[in-house]
Amino acid sequence: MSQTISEQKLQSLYEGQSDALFRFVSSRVSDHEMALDIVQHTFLKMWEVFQTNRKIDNERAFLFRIASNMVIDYYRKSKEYSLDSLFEEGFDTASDTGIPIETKIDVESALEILQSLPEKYRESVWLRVVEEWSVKDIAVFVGETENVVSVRIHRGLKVWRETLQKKSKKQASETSKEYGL
Amino acid sequence: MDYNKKKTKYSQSEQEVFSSFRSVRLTEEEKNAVWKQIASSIQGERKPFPSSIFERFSQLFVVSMKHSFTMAMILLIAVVGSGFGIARASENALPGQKLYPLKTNVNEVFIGSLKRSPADRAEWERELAERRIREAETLAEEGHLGEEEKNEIEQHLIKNRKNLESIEGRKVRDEEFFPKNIETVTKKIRVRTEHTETDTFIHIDEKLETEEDEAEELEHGFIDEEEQHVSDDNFSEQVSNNSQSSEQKEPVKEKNDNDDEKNIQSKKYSSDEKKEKQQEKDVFVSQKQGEEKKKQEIKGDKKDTLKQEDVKNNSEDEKDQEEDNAHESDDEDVHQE
Repeated sequence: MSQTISEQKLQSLYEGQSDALFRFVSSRVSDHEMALDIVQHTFLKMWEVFQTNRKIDNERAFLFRIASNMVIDYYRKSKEYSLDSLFEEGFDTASDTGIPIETKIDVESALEILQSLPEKYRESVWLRVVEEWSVKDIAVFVGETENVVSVRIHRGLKVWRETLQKKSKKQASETSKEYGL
Repeated sequence: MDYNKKKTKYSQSEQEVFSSFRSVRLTEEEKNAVWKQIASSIQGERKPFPSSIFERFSQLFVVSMKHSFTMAMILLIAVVGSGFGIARASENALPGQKLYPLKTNVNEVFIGSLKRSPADRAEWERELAERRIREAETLAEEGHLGEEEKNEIEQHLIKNRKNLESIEGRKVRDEEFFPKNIETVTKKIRVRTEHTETDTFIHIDEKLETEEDEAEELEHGFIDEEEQHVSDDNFSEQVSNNSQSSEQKEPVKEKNDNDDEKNIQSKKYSSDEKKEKQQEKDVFVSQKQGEEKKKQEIKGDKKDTLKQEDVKNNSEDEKDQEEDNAHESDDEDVHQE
């Protein structure tokens, strides 16, 4: 079937961004299927926006904005998935990655701390360090100036590092206690 | 700003962590499956229809204006109007009627879909249960509560209960499910539930005469019963009268007018042929009567004419007599001369 221009546009966007979007969504939504569902609906929403011929400066930022809103909607609708339970469950990366066990603990706690950051810090830090977006793009996504965004990233990372250090120290002391050192 | 410079600010271990975050991705299968679903949804709403509802409607109008604006409006009103009309008409439908499935499967489902919050939805299921019970009551009052109707209502009630349980997320007790005023609503029917380990069954039966009912009848229905007896006696009399032999009747009735006689005879003869004969007789009788009347009339006429003739004769006689008298007088005169 012959594709329209907007269909081609959507497909190329999907090819390029579906993994990153899935990561972004599943860092918030622990349910794998639900995350897939949100990704699908995000692209469908994007398609609707394409159909209206509305001019979009930054498609990627727009796409992630839609997804972010959908995640918020999802939490509003379903109260059975509380944020606390989500943090307790964590974010399982073990099945997908071949990271050694020692670093895996580190990754899990690193992710947990990142997820526990306030929303405005968390999103900016995530997009900056994981997806390696430019501050300019993140500014479009958040709807703030670049300056505000870089401050958020800086502060977010600072808190993250400090908490991670505390935690690893605690863990180290616990393990040393276990071995009677 | 130089981002590359900033990147180097991350330590080796931090970069490892980030890259491990980054390693989360869709599997090829998932990626294809999700895209397939997206593509199929997209093709569902491909052009010429624009995506937004407003644009669709406006396009519909443009198309219809080209052909005939009024026709489109009439059609729209007719379709929407008849749809609403049927829907409204079905609101009072009862089980066993043709519009009842429309009421339960379209109207109520539609209204139910408007209820969003769990509390509203639970309230709606209870409302539906009350409706069903009222319907059963109405049917019982009308005497139309057959097995099929009972079954249908029972199925609906069981479904409502299950829905309510899934909304509430727990087992629901009887008094929570059925309307609180169930005692005042159900006068003719009895609703009972049967709980098994897995399922709940609801049975509707027509109420048997309980002690209370009997007491009520004694209070209110005593006079009625007497009246019934009286009317029964009358009825038996009538029956016995009817059962009397027609031979006995005939002499009594023959004394009456001719009309009554005809009626009895027509009752007596059940076959059409005999009726026809009777009719012929009737006609004959009436003809005879007519002839007699005519004769009488003719006679009357004749008498009248005779009388008139008599009068004429008399007058002529008188004239003659006068003439005679005159002659006689003349004669006398002559004689006198």
